[in-house]
Amino acid sequence: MNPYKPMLAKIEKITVETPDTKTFKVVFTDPEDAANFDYKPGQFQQVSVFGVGECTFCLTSSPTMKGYIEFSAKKVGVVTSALHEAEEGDIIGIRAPLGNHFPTDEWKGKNLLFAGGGIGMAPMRSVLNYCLAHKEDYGKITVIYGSRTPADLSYKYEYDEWRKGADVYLTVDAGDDSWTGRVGHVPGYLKELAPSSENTVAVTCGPPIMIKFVLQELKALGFEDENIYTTLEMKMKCGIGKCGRCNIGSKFVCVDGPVFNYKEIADLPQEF
Amino acid sequence: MKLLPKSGVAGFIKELSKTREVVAPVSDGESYAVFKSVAPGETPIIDGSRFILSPRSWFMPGYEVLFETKDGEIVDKTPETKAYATIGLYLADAHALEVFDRVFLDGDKPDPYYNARRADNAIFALVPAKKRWSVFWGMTGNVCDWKKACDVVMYDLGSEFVMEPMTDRGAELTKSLADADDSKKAAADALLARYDEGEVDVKAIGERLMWDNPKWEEVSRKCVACGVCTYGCPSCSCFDMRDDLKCGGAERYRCLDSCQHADFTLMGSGYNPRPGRMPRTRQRLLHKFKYQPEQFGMIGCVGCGRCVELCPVGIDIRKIVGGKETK
Ligand SMILES: Cc1cc2nc3c(=O)[nH]c(=O)nc-3n(C[C@H](O)[C@H](O)[C@H](O)COP(=O)(O)OP(=O)(O)OC[C@H]3O[C@@H](n4cnc5c(N)ncnc54)[C@H](O)[C@@H]3O)c2cc1C
Ligand code: SF4
Ligand code: SF4
Ligand code: FES
Repeated sequence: MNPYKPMLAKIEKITVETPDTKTFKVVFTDPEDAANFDYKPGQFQQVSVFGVGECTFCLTSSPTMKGYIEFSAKKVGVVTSALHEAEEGDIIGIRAPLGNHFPTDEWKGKNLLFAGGGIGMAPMRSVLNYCLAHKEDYGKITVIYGSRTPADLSYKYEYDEWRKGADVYLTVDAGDDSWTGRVGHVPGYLKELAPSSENTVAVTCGPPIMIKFVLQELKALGFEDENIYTTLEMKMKCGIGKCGRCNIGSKFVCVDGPVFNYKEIADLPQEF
Repeated sequence: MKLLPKSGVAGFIKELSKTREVVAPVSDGESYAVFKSVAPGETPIIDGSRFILSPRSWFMPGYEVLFETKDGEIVDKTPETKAYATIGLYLADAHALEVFDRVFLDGDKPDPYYNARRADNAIFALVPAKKRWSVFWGMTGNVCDWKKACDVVMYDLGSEFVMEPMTDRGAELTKSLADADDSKKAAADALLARYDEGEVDVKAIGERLMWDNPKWEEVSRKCVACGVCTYGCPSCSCFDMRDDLKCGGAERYRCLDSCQHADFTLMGSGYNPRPGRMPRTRQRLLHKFKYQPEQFGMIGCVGCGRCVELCPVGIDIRKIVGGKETK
């Protein structure tokens, strides 16, 4: 088995989420790859645009969605720009699943609080949909999701589905004419809603500045470090702990992460 | 133990190359010796007369195609596993391969490209007659332990090599040589003892090289971020992966990379978690002396001294590790 060799996959559907983010639904071209493929929420993949390069995305689909996988890509540089130019039917490469995952088994019996911002919803969507599909295993599920503007909110087509099993709270930094919801930042909304930390696990992903203030609020609500989870981001190439790029201290984000709780993060050199 | 007179090296290599592809330092046409497959009639440079660049260039080439795409298929470019003999790397370099083994072969996703060159490779490692001024093997590990990384240890006694087989394979490949007598054995042991510096206190080094040591700023000030310290290092393994378009398809290759360069960790968003020379120098040192010991119980520097000799501004890792510049 060559861990550098991608599986070929066909882009089945491209969904424009926001002005700079698209979600790609892909299917492995080799039925054997498709049949053998399994993953856990929080794991990531290396996506190849052949001749351009490879880059890292979390699997935003959930293992409960069978027969395809999805990732959401924000356009920032060389490979993500090439992806944004791709069309349905194009062939790309996938190396996955990579990295660790959210400990959804350990969370059984607990309430779940998701606080996300912007593209940070991509990894959270996987674990959220997974937990919603296994609703009987978990207590109350709460989602607080915010973005800069209403146009920057991803996965709008799923909110109704989420609301069947979770309390969903949306907020934007700045509304527009059609926006009737809340205006303000995620940390402020969290403070206002003040969910109980009792028997509850919190997951927060999003821009570093948002995470910083969400953490403060979570601490104020009594959440312990080991009950707060996030995904860390470092530049990646190999995705398998060999190219030496994504380390924080002696941990490789690509192997030991990307999912960490804040107790683990406190032990790392603060260099990420 | 066996004896190989220096006049017999060419013949020995000729014999060896009947069953194995021989890799050894040969002239690069300028002033260095580089590891290459030895062509028939070519004589390797193992007498200490030249600066030998690290064998990494052979085990992990600076440029290596991983796969190509052609007609919508992926063509795997993993090299075939061959029988090799690598001669004339330093004992420290042999130990550096043990570090590489941890990085590339451990875990559930071993690296097939490295493995193809490593799986059946008889290692003939050199203990040079003269210890170069920059060498500090003994500061980074127990040099006697490093013999286990070799099939044969070659002690340079001036006009001859004492050959100490460490494995069955090594014994087999040296069986035609004459036996060494006790005085030669003693001379070989005495030579290695010159490289030994006693017990290495990894913990004490780790404590000196604290992440928040205020001295990092000073230590890194001179660095011009050329990356030569890492490119020249036998145990630095970091690489980049890139794509190129090729006629009718594309290729993915990997190439050397260095933690000393800004874009090593520069992310698409523009954010860089190691934004200056200080955190990058610190990364190089801590990766070797703290993180790798934590990951697999081995210091990732083997004290070969190449970075000491190659650094254009004279940054000397020995002073940093030894505490002269970090205490
Ligand atoms: C675990 C993880 C999960 C991620 N999930 C998502 C996601 O779901 N959606 C999303 O839009 N983005 C995600 N990212 C960020 C995404 O990988 C980068 O934005 C992307 O690699 C930029 O590629 P580029 O070629 O367009 O940028 P360029 O700046 O041109 O980068 C060149 C190359 O450097 C590497 N690189 C650059 N930035 C990053 C980075 N931040 N992380 C990893 N490698 C990088 C890639 O190999 C990239 O091809 C994730 C990153 C990590 C580490
Ligand atoms: S002395 Fe320098 S070049 Fe040699 S192993 Fe140590 S860090 Fe690498
Ligand atoms: S060789 Fe010297 S100047 Fe160049 S990157 Fe290394 S420490 Fe800095
Ligand atoms: S991406 Fe290569 S080591 Fe993590």
